[in-house]
Amino acid sequence: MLAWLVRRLAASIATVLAVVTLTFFLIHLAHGTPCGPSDGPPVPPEVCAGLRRQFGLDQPLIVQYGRYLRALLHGEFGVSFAQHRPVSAAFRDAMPNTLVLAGAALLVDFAVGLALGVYQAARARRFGDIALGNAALFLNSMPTFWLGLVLMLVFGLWLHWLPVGGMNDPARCPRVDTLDCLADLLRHLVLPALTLGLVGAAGTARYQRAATLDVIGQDYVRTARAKGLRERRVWLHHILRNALLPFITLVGLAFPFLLTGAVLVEWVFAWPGMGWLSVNAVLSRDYPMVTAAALVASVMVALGNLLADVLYVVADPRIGVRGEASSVG
Amino acid sequence: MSEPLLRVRDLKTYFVTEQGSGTARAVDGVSFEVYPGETLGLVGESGCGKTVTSLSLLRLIPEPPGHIRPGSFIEFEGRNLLTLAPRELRAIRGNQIAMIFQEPLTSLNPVLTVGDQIAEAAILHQGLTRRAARRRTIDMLRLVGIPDPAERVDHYPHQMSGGMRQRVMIAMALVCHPKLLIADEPTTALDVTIQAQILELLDRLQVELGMAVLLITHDLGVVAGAADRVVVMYAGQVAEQAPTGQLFARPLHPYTEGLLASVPRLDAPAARGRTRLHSIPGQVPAATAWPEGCRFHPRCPYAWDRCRQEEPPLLDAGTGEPGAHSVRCWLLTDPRRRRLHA
Amino acid sequence: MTVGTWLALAGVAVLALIVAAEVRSRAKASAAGRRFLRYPAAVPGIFVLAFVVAVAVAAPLVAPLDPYAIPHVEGVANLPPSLHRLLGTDPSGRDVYSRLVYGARISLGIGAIAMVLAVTLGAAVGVVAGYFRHRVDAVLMRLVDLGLAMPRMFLLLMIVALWGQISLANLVLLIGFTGWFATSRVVRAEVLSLREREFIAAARALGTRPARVVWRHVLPNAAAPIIVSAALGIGHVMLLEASLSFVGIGVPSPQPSWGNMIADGAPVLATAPWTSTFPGLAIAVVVMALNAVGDALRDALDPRKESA
Repeated sequence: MLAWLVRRLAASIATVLAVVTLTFFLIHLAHGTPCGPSDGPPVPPEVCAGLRRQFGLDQPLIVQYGRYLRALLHGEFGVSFAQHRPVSAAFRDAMPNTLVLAGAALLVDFAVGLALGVYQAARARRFGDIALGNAALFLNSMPTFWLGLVLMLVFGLWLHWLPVGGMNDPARCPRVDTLDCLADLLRHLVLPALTLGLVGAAGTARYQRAATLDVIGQDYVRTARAKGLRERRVWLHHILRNALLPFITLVGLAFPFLLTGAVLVEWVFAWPGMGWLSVNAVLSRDYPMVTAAALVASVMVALGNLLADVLYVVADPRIGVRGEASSVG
Repeated sequence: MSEPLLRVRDLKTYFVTEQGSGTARAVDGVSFEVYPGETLGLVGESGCGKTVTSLSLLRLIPEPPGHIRPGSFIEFEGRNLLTLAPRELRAIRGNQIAMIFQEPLTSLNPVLTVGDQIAEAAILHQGLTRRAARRRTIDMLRLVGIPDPAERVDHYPHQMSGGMRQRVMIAMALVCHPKLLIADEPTTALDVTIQAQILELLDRLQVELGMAVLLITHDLGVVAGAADRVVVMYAGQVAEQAPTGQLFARPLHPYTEGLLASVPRLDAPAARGRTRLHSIPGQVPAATAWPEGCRFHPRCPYAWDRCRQEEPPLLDAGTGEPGAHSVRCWLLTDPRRRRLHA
Repeated sequence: MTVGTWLALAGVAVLALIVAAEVRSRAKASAAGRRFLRYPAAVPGIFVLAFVVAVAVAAPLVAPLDPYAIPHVEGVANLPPSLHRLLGTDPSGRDVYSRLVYGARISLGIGAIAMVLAVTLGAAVGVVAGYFRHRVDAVLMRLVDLGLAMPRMFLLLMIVALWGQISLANLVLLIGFTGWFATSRVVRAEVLSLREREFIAAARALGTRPARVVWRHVLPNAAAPIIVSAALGIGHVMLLEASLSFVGIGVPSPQPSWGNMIADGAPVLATAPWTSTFPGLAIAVVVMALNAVGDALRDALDPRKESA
């Protein structure tokens, strides 16, 4: 088990390293020569050489690469052009906000998706299943940010039940230091989390429905009934135990979806997280910020995949990683 | 004879097919009895309805596509199983009537230990504590011949061989000492040597626990060795029913004749000029379209007009005790017809 | 809306109905087709797709007004839907309905072209990796792992941040070149299993060149996952393009795309929600149809599928 874990970890690290290398090359390709844009006035060669020396661009590529790696390992992502401060500082402010949003969205995603998927499987092919299935398909087909706008329109602008944007009320609660302010944060969290979570739930429900249906048709469910077990026990102890196994891997695999979705949702709701930061950065061509965000996202994806693999091995006794080969007698 | 433990009368189980090809009448009027302590063999090719029959007994037929027709009658120890409330039915399942299935790998829950699955029934039906159930489980594992039962009890199904898994299934079925065990093709998925072991085990347990066994199989060899009486099914109906010895010595239904003749025998006289294996011509018809008249007539070497027009009822063969040997064939009324056609 | 455009719209609808009906009757004839029809949303999906494609193609006939025309008249901005302006006007006074129709060309066009690019590339890589295996496979799959390591959105954001606003053509190319990874894996899996079949061995035993074996024997049989990828892929691309355009780095104004139309309407969401709502609805309906058809195709073309 340990050997497998080490190998798996090494693979993740290798992947991240590959992404870092790719990113480095892209940056170098685009901005390797600070001699002005190609459509601007020509820069005199001495100025050019001076600039290159200043930015360390006269060093061989491999040296630049080494310096880049070292900087990353120290958590130095460069300086943001637009915000005039280190990127890492901006991240430090924004990351918790994104984590809060992603966490809440994940909760909605799984709570709704799991229940929906199992319910649909129990009522397979009947009206409930078909209606919910189409509703889920519709949710999965709309742009996430559009759902956000619609929810904002209905619940914020028409019904005035929830705030339409931001993370807090800047006047009353610049910091979450009272229970009242916590409630304020939560009120602001509802719409963005719902937006991100519901779209995710639609996908999760489809997955879970298929997994549950697969289990329902298995012979051992018939055996359980033949033993005289109550339906509820058949469901909880036999069906769901098996049907939820694949669900566990969805936790890890949800990371890419949440990251990508967060970009647009944060932008729509002006939620000051990594995604909002990234979009602002793109619009002002602040590439140190964007590339750093892209790297962080890649690390999160790698972590998510690793988590999914580990969770699956832990959950399913058939995966013979413990050294006992699963014999198919 | 004593009172039957299980009495089935006119059982009909139909399935609605999706493509709209009509209703599949998988079991179409089956009647038989099982007496305490005996082994009744239920024999037939695939598609004859024997598995559906066994599933119908415990009402394990999935309800949307299938349903047991009203007019069917299944009585166990004097109680009508088809009208029982769900709670009462559940009290019988796994407790008084137990069932084992053909595929021991897929019939066991892969994420639960073997011990958990066996103990489940004991805890449910006999109210044992976890610890007592575990002890009982280990006893059962020993009873069915699994070595190192105290260790195996915590193993998962995928860690065992096919033969052992089937023993586990048997242990699971017998943990509550049922009065009737329904064994659906218990040895079909196993190697021949393991088959013999399992059948021997069932035989021993039957004597030890004093239970009746309904043994469902397509293998005549299994039935010859294990069953006291045999019911031969064809096309959703009972074709012939007789004590084992009589059935094999003097099969009366042409289908049974054909089945027995199809079994290759080492001692068959080669001088009869037969160089090919005997087989029953034709194929089992689809359950959505049983033939008119006698359902076997398209494949029967003796068939004449009456067979094509009228479906024969189960007739008493008249040998031995009344009702011991019955056959669904017009030949009983007109024995002269038992001549092979040109 | 003039009488002419109403007639054109009706004509397009009828055409789509005919296509859907034709597909339905053709499908009944084969087992795969019947599996396709088991999905209740499949045929309506075909109708929607046929309708939208026809509208896009017949845009000049179906849209009464110039989608770019900014009227130099006062008070035409942000009008609610009416008989004259079927879906209202946007903050610049342009007819939302006309822009929606022409936007279909852009959004669907980008979807189709980028998808073709991605699927072709993905299928090619998948087939090569699956058929030749060993080192070629290992290298290609590492490449795929790298491609899947960074979320597509971030990669695109990064490229725009590094190189500035990209032209529409380059946008399409970029979306296509970043979208082939998942397809290649699926195709590779199919090819790996096909490889073991006897007819491949037979072809090779005859001395057929690998390229020919791939082209004539492997590809046709691996068509199923490729087709499904294509159907679902257009949907992904459309959603991606909408996101990019909404944020401002996709299709540049004034060219109408369903994504940037939503962005146009965002500032006036409270008072004039139609500008943002209808394009989003259009995307949702089209992508839903693509998903429904893709799912149905996946079931229909999978020979191992039996009724659940």
